[in-house]
Amino acid sequence: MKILKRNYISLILLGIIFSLSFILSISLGSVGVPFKNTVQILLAKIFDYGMINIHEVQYDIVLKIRVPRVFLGMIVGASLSISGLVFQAILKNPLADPYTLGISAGAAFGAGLSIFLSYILGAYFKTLLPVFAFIGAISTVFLVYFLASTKGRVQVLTIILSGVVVSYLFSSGLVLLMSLLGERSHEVIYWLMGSLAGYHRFLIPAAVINCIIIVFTFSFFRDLDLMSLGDDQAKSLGVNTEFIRILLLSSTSLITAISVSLTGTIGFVGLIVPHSMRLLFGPRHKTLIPASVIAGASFLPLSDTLARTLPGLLFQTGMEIPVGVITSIFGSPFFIFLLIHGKKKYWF
Amino acid sequence: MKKAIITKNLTVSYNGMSVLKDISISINEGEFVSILGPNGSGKTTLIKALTGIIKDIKGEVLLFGRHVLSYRRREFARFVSFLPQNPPTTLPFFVRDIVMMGRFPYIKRFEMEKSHDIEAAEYAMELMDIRHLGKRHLMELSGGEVKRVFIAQAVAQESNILFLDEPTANLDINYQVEIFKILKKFNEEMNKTIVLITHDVNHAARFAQRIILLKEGLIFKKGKPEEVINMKDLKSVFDTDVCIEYDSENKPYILI
Repeated sequence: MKILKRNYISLILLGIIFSLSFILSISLGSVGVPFKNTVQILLAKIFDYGMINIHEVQYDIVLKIRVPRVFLGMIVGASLSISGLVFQAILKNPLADPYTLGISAGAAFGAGLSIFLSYILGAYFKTLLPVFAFIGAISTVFLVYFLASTKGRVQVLTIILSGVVVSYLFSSGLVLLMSLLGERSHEVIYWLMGSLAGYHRFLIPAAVINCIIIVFTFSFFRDLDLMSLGDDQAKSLGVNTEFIRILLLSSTSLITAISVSLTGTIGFVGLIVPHSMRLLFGPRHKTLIPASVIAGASFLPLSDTLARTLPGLLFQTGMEIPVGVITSIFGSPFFIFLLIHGKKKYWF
Repeated sequence: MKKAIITKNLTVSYNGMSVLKDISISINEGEFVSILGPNGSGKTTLIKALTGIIKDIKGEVLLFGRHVLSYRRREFARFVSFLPQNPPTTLPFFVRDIVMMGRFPYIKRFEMEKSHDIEAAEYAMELMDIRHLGKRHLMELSGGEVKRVFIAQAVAQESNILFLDEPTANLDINYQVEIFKILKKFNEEMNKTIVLITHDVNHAARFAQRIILLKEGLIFKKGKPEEVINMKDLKSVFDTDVCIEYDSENKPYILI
């Protein structure tokens, strides 16, 4: 009972951190908005009581620039975290992350291709970058499944290996594109590092699909618990492991592909968040899934806030650091700390 | 009497090598059957074929008259449970949660555990004498305690047929006997069908109604303990000379 209570308290704390990170991420940036105003503007928007006595510029900054960006960060952060969690559980590999099936390489190739085509056939193709990235990401998943399946069944190790092989294939394709692009390949490099800055027009459909899949995945929390006992035991307790594996890998691959195509490859989120949550909450997916979703939805917007504000604070420039750099810089030491601190409780 | 398990010419091959050849057995509901045989004789493969874990089988396997692979796993788990040889030992789940997992086939996707699920889990823990371990992590337990936790999980499943792959390996002798007694009680009082693999010929002889003796993937002999346990057959299967005595109930036991 004590542990259960502690879990609830931790979840409530996570919720508070989440709300604070939301307000913080919206308020901070190259132009600061006081917290009080942020809250007032958001409340005014939600409850629809029209303009309030706040400067119109702040109103626009909050609602038209920051909210979509933070919202994108929340969706992508939550999606990458839950995908990492599911991948690690299903592939029984602590190093598995949402990109294990080669999604990032495929998306990067697609993005590179659209940038390449924009120089040859016209700038129009650059607006299609997320579509290209998405098609690239999804084709890798299909290719990996095709390579890994024998007689309609998929072996865990084969799937990881095919993911690696397909990643190399698409990465070399991307390197070819970049060498053809020459000096102009910096756009590709920038995309590779990940950013929450663009493509907010795809935000609403992406948010709807990802939220549905997150809820869908949550409904499998017991199956995921049982699968950590090993396939034989999970099967004899009533889990159709082969089917669930393909189902959940596909659904989380879909939200990862959507995320990557909108933001570029943001690393580490899918590793740090689920592992930290395991150390905090233990192995039960009933708590792990909501915890990872909330933590991911706080971690990425906060990292993005740092990416937006740090260069200004340190060097007085308006430049932004790619958010992927921040997640790695702050993520890896945090991860090391948790590993050392929680070694006794760790199990993979 | 109702047939719980029937196999006809069951053959299992890995990469062209037959591990089980032409196995035809028939087990009644409420029977206690023990599978004996040396390492590599196909005992585990047989149990995995009977529980539908190995799907690549030739021949027929019928459980309660239906082909084993025609069941959906969840449906199957409601009347067949299987305790694998090496359950995981390093997971930080609470013992209680592990036992509760036995209730998985009864709980719908969006439902919580019902009071009967909790009762069944508690009964199983009581039976296996692990109630005091409920709030401990699995990884903190000794090998024998882990074994008992997983037997409790299979008990909580409330299935008609229990398959157990060496349930008493790594256990102290008091728990070895205890577990066999519990299984026997289970078998007699609740009419559960029990099929287990063991290396202990004496336990098999004392508790099982029938013994299936495997050698190199074939059934070497099957029948009542007093028919199977004899010097000649044990010599040709295990290649060891044994001495056979009989206890007060006229059950055979061996001395090595």
